[in-house]
Amino acid sequence: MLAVVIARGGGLPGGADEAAAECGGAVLVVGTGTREAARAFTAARRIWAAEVPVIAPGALAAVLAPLIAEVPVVVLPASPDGRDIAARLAFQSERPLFAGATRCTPEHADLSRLDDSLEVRVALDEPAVVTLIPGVRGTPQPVPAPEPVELTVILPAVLDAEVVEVLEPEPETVELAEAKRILGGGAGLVRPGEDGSAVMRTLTGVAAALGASAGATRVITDAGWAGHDRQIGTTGVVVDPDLYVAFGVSGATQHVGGLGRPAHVISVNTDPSCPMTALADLGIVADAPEVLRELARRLNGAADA
Amino acid sequence: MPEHSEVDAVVVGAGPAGASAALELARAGRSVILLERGPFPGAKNVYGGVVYGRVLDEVLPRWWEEAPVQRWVTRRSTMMMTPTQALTVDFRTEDWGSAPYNGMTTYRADFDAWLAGKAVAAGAQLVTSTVATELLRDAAGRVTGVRTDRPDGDIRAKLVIACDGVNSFLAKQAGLLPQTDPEHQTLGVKETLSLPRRAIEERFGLSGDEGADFEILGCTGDIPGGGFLYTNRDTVSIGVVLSLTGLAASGRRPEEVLADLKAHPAIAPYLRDGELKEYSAHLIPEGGYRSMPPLQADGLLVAGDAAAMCLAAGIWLEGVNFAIGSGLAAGRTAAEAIAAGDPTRLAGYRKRLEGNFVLTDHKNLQGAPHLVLSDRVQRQYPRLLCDFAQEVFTVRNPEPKPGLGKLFRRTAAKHGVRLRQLAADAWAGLRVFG
Amino acid sequence: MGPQIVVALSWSWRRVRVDPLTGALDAGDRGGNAAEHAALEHGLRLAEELDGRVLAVTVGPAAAEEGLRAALAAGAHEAIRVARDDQLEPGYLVHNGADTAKAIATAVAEPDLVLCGDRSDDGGTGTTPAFLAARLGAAQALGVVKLEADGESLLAHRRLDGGSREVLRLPTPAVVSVEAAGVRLRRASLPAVLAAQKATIRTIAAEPQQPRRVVSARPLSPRARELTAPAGTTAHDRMLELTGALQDRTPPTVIGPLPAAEAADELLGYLKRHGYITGEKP
Ligand SMILES: Cc1cc2nc3c(=O)[nH]c(=O)nc-3n(C[C@H](O)[C@H](O)[C@H](O)COP(=O)(O)OP(=O)(O)OC[C@H]3O[C@@H](n4cnc5c(N)ncnc54)[C@H](O)[C@@H]3O)c2cc1C
Ligand SMILES: Cc1cc2nc3c(=O)[nH]c(=O)nc-3n(C[C@H](O)[C@H](O)[C@H](O)COP(=O)(O)OP(=O)(O)OC[C@H]3O[C@@H](n4cnc5c(N)ncnc54)[C@H](O)[C@@H]3O)c2cc1C
Ligand SMILES: Nc1ncnc2c1ncn2[C@@H]1O[C@H](COP(=O)(O)O)[C@@H](O)[C@H]1O
Repeated sequence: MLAVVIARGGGLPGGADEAAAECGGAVLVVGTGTREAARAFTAARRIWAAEVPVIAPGALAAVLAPLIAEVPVVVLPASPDGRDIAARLAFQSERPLFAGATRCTPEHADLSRLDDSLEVRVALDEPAVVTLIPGVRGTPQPVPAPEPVELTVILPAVLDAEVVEVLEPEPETVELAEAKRILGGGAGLVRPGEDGSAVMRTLTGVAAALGASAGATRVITDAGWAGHDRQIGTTGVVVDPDLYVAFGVSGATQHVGGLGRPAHVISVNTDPSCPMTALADLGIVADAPEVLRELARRLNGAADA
Repeated sequence: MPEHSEVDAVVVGAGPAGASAALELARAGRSVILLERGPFPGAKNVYGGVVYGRVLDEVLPRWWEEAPVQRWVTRRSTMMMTPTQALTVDFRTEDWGSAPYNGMTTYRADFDAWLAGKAVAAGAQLVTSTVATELLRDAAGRVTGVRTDRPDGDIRAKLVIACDGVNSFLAKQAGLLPQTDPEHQTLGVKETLSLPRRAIEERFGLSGDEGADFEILGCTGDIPGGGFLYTNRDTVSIGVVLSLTGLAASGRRPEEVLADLKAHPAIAPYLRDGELKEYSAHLIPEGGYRSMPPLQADGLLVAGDAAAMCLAAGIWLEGVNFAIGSGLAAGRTAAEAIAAGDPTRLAGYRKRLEGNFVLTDHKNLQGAPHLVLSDRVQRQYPRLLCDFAQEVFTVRNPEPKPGLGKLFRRTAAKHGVRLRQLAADAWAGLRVFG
Repeated sequence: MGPQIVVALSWSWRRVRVDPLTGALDAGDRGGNAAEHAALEHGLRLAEELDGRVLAVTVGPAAAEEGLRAALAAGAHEAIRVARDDQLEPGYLVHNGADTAKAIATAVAEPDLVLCGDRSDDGGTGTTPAFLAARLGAAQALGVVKLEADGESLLAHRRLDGGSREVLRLPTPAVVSVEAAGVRLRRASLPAVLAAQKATIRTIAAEPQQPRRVVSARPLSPRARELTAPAGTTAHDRMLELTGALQDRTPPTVIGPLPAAEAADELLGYLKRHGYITGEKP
């Protein structure tokens, strides 16, 4: 097995070490600033590095396909770049792609499906490409990164989009990413059929009263009830607070994967056995919108909040 | 493209009434648009859970082979309860478990979509996610179509049929219904709980696709009303129906009343470990015959709950069959009037309804809502009967058993029920229901 | 003549419930999702601006024509259905988009731009667009939150790790998948809805998708995360660290069901005990 990790400007994507660990420490890092990126691994035991001038999915797949020809199972982190390149690579190398795995061994992959409610195991009985969801595996004891073996590659002429610029995270996002206390809102905070914008404003108000920031699950941000900069998770903002209070959040792997390791987690949920509550230090089985309204009343003194 | 669309008839609301009306029009070869505000017919429709399908014989033969049935009701229980007691009259029959069947439990999302599908197959144009916002009229005040909330959303039609349910916005606009009418409406709230199929079959004593239907009296405390419990394949529906004025006076919330019913010792064991799937609430027109609005205006017919056609009288809670019956009659009348080239000739509608079960039943049962919601039927009689049963069945050896007549008089006196009144209500009941 | 724009609309199982014991699947209904509607709206706007044409494509059963008719009503010029009926079974859910992309590619002749949703509701891995780009030899931009015209070309903003964004200039042809951000599908006019119901939809045959053989399918329970080995110097320290005995970590508790007021008491009490709030405030 081999992990393929796309580096950008010397940085590693979320889930890079987990992919490496899943493959027993064998990593191929491609992208820009691969030397520096290679040093950042904590779970790599053997590293190959291929520096390219730009991140261009079509061209990268063309470069990578011959390099992995002998490797039965290739694992990429399911980060934005990983998703981008995994499918192109699978197509180029005529392999099946198994996207969104929570576990991968040389024999099989466990795939998360249906918004994280179903786990399907497939046999890897032919060469395959797998993407691993960041945050679900965890990483072993850190080991110093070995010196990378450098590979020289030349990007072929494949039609790709031209990168105009990479924008730094917006201040809002940075604020959330660095917040030490976060209140998270999930689908359970919004009554079916209701517009969730109001309740998300209440959440922001309560968060402010507790010196915390407000975050949300993708269900909330997709519905437009909170800005996309509020989405916590592997495809949103990766946070690392001390305190996380989840209101009506089921605790899907893609959400929890971006949650870091808070010292204190509270989950308010009507379902006592949902993953978020199972993971919490304090699980409160209660109606999240009601509890939030009660908190708003006490903390913000807003009778109508 | 034209500014507006033109058809023979437009039917507002794709519930059972609207789907039936559109079906008849389409079958008669008329162009008809069926408007529905939900994303699909039945999406938001709330009811208890039992449809009496006989009326569908008129729609298609052997409907039971394709209707989206959950279970066929073969067991019907009427429960009378007090907070600690319950007396049940339990009826079951194999006859309802085979063709031509009697009642079926079905989900409205499935049933309404199925029925509307019949109308579409016959040629009606179903337009969903679209709300009728206004009646269009000509200078003489005749209804000539409806406005919808879509761009270029006016529809011109020779006739409009309002099947938009209880509190009908269109019937109000046409001046047929008062703006508010809380005395003649009740609020139904219901929960759907999921349970394993096996558990339902064991607890309710059912097998295969048999189903149970419980109607409950005396379970709503101080608020006039009643309760129900129905079985689906792997869910049960439990709910209460509450008088709006009684609810307001009590200061209680409908969820609380329902929670009490769920916790009642005679009900709780049926529901144990059931997982809440859905909570819903909806109004029911419950005045019956006496509060029915005029059924037509110039260019407009009203059917189903919009015309207060729901039969809600204690042990009966039937609205869907009446909606279908009135919808079919409205559709037929409309088709004939249009074919005759005189869309104002709508008097046949009421006649049709009087000639079939719809108005006949309503007329015969017109006293029922009043009687059923009276304090005696609501509270005194359930207590009287439960206490009487308890006295009869309590063994007090070495004390001898008292005579039943004496016992009944004693229990009646304890509950302040005068026997003369009881006899009068029994007589009224016989006349109303008999 | 402006660009040929294809919008790919899925016909996915939505609101699927997984039986917690048996893993049996049961869906609410089928249809597209908000991201695909956003893709359609983007397509319609671009077509208006650039005098282009929008072709809506779905790979699905006859019932999926409902989604195509909705697209026609909203303003798509043409619709094609590639006939294929996937079942609600694990073997189909593991699909990775390769076959769907192949089926879509058979239906579209040299488009300038293909717009997709970020992911469908059942498969949900968002890989179909990338396979489609590979197959069409097109450039790709996935997970796009903003699409804007910049002179002759299009700029796509997409999210990268950690909240940064990449701005891409799209060449022709390109495949773009958009998130449900920013735009909302317009409301179709009533005459358009009625006309769309009568429109003919071209249907072409596709190879049926072979369900993948699966080893097992069950309700997902989170994978136990591997822990970083303890760093203590003595065995005793390491033990303490591993068991969490040194950390101020309360044992996990689940309480309730509680009414809101009591739940708030518990929550605030916990925050107080752990020093997140001080004083007498609430
Ligand atoms: C490729 C991919 C990437 C993804 N990336 C992300 C990501 O970055 N971030 C992210 O968050 N998601 C992401 N998701 C989506 C993720 O899989 C989940 O769908 C999402 O996190 C679920 O959000 P939720 O917990 O709000 O909703 P749900 O899963 O619907 O959970 C709602 C919860 O609320 C509870 N509840 C219901 N009613 C009440 C009530 N009245 N009171 C209290 N509790 C109640 C329920 O018990 C349930 O636990 C991604 C998915 C995919 C496929
Ligand atoms: C709790 C409860 C339990 C019940 N139990 C039973 C039972 O077990 N058995 C039984 O037979 N009956 C029962 N009923 C009664 C039954 O639900 C109704 O009598 C029946 O639904 C009436 O059908 P309808 O077509 O007239 O109206 P509805 O079913 O209410 O349909 C009206 C339709 O019109 C649509 N609509 C409304 N306004 C507009 C508009 N402006 N534009 C476009 N569309 C619009 C609505 O979305 C809806 O689809 C119960 C009712 C309740 C509330
Ligand atoms: N069956 C399908 N027919 C048409 N488009 C599809 C289909 N499946 C997926 N797509 C498109 O590809 C996007 C991503 O889907 P997926 O890869 O299944 O997550 C969807 O939002 C659609 O735009």
